[in-house]
Amino acid sequence: MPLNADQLKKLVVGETVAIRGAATLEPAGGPGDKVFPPTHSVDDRNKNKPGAKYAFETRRIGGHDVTCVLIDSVQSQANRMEEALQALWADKQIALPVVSVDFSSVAPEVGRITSLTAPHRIADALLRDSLLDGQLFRLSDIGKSFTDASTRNATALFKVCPTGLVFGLWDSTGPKGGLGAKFQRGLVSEIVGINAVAGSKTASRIDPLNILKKAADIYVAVDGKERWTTDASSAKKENGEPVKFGKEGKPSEVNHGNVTPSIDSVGGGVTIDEARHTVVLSLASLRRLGFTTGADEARTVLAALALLAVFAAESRGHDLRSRCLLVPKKGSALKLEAVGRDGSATPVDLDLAGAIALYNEVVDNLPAGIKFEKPAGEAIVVLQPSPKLADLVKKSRDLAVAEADVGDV
Amino acid sequence: MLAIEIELLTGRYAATAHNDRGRAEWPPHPARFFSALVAALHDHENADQAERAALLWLEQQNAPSLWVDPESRVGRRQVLDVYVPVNDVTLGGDAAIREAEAKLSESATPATKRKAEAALEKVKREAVAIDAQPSDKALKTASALLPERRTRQVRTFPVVVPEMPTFAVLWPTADSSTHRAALEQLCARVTRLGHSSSLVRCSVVDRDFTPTLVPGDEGDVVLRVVGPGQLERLDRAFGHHGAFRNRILPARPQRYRSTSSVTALSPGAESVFSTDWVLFERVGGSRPVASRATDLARALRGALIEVHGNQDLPAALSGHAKSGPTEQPHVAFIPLPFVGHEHADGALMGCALVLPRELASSDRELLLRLVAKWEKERSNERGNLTLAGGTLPPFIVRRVDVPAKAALDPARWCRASTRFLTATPIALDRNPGNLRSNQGGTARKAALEAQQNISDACLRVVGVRPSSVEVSLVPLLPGAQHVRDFLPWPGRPGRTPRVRVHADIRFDAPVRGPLLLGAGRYFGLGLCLPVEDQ
Repeated sequence: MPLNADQLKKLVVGETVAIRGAATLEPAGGPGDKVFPPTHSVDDRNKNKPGAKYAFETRRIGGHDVTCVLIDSVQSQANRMEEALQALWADKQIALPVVSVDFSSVAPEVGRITSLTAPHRIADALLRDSLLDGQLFRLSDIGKSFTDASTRNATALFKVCPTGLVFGLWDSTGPKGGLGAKFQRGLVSEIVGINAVAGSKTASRIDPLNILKKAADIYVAVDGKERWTTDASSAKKENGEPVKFGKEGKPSEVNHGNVTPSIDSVGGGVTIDEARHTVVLSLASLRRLGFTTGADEARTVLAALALLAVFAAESRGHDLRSRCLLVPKKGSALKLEAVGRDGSATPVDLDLAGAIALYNEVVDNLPAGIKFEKPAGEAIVVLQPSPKLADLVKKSRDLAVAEADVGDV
Repeated sequence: MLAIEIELLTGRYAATAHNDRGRAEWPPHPARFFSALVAALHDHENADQAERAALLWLEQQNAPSLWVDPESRVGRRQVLDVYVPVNDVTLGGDAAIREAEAKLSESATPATKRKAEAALEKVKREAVAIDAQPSDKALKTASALLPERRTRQVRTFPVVVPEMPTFAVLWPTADSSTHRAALEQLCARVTRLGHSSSLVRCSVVDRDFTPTLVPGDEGDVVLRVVGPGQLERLDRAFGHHGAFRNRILPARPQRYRSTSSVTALSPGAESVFSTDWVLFERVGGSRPVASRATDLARALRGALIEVHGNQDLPAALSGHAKSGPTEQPHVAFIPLPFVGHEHADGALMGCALVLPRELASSDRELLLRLVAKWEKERSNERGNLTLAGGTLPPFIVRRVDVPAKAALDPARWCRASTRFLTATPIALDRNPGNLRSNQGGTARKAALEAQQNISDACLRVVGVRPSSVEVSLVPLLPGAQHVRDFLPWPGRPGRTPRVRVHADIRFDAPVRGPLLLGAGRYFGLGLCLPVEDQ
């Protein structure tokens, strides 16, 4: 029987410490296929060490040391869960307070940014520098409402950004500086690859036109739009000499010709036996949040929201990055259990459909005073980029285009 | 018996070591756990009195034992740089408006009020209006605001994955009956330990645990624990840092030893010097390197003699009896250099008073009182002491219980090992001959003589001879200096300067340090670092 609203409320209000989930995943191409973990910067000392870009770790499994690798970090998983929630909300399946700002007119590739996708959630600088009804966001009523939120009274933040209470939030650059609203995350999710061995990847290019290195000298064209030319007479001149494109005027400087194959072992992916996905929702930390009204209901909504986030992200598949697609191993999809005060675990039955229904039900049960005002898919407010910000972005982009040296490929 | 069980719900522990930002802490320090309890205490506006009393009782207890996986059973994640987006990029319009509004509310006369209103209107306009000639800074800020190009800052997330995700903090002899209920309430509210991603389950349990780590002076592991007054200290400190400024956890160091005989190497031989050190950490002034060690050692000794008022220190402290230099080991004045790491530069990170193992407790007391007197009379308002003398520019130190720098950790110099490399050269008791000679055989004979010399020195200090000694004039540890960089020792008129060499010393069985060898061993020469034998 899938978890229902009453049962969840009992878990949240009672003594259950956490709801924990585990899943075993494998590369979509089957066990033994290569996957690409997240890369980190490598210092000079290690720059030629195989696999140096990845965060390896040794785990003790079954009495042996096993080399593992981080496949998706806590922070990255949180971002994915928020994106998944936004997709559900935009699809009008759930009601959720969301603040959004539309940058399409200013920066089309940025599009809409919301309190779910902005790097620092509702406290993000982008929202801060945007306008609500002509007024800077943090000076508006909504913007001021959560300035004084704290763990002792999280009501205001619950009404405008409940995901901040699940994934954590620190309004460190708001009006109160470092003393601003600070909430720890209550949901932690991480994916680690087991028995990881660093591999190599190759890179090369075969030119379909088979242009040889010595085919011609490339010069900078006089006409900026044309960019380059092989005709020395119509090239840009400096001191009477035609200016070569890039360093030596080779066809490769304008992206033609073959590229010698190279082997990269530093960031060449890893093979893993399997990946473990662990997710923990701390109900005890939800119980530490204080509310002026409807505390039990609010905490239950946060728990349901967290569980929904987990399943929403899982249902989208673990397509973590290029060449890193993981799928659940047969029979090892995400299974939840409730962890009691004494460490005992009781299974919890839930899937995406159940999580959506559960969330909607507990949201409906919110008492007056902390109800979610807007229906599914509608933001509580829509901000506009300030004219100043819009203009600055546009100007800085124009500048970037003009300044980009034609030699900068 | 009070036993608190903590389960790492995510299977891992993420907390940075207090003295090494690039390393995760393990085992979890009891002081950190106490802080988590204090944080739980303050969940509510008015702290529960019973809970408060429970913590006041807990801080009075002895340092707890631990039931926890040892280092050998713990996996560590490589600590790599992670770039996280910042939030302090902003055009700042709202801050300017708030300031103008504040000025308006403060204005008293109608005239100032009008001016303030006008200023407010102006600021409001400028906050959103398009600027015809925007500054470079504004352009940079705007482009850095967008998520894809947001400025990023480096952070690290040290993580440890123990084989057993549960551990326990134990007070075997404590009677917690009066405070049990309050402690249970507090533990229920401890939701994380260390980084916020280290979610935990914490509860008081009745099970019997066999501790794996117990407090013990011969231990290798140093953990931060709390003492009486900790709750008040933390409350006071919170007033300063408000939970967001950088701060150091007040704590006292406690040595722990492993109870399992399997994991611990039981060294047969021990140094005549103890692991009981009085530490001074460099906080300012000059940055001398290890080659100036003897100057600093003399300055330290000189400072204590000066505070004492006369030269009549007991032999155990000064090394001089009525009839001349003593045979018994006495207090050593040891400057501690940063050596042994890839980027070590040999800089002196501080200094220590290393007490001999067989020091009479009255002498020990005298020394500690002398140090206290020195601190009281000569320290400035920040508690800093200055060491200077001869050609040594002022070197400012502060006495510390728990050093932040790894180079100052006694465990680093004292741990048992079968191999030692010199951080500062050994001053040989007898001239071995010309180590630099080009003449056939002379240099070789001198090297053998030097090796024998050092073997004798080891016998004198740790009671066993090494299985092999190799000597060198060039440094063997990263950060150590060439012997020629050191000033002559003893460097007094009329005294023959000793020949100094670096050495690579190996023993058959592990020897517990500190290994201080040779003629200058009481003044920082012949300081040896235990290293892994490969």
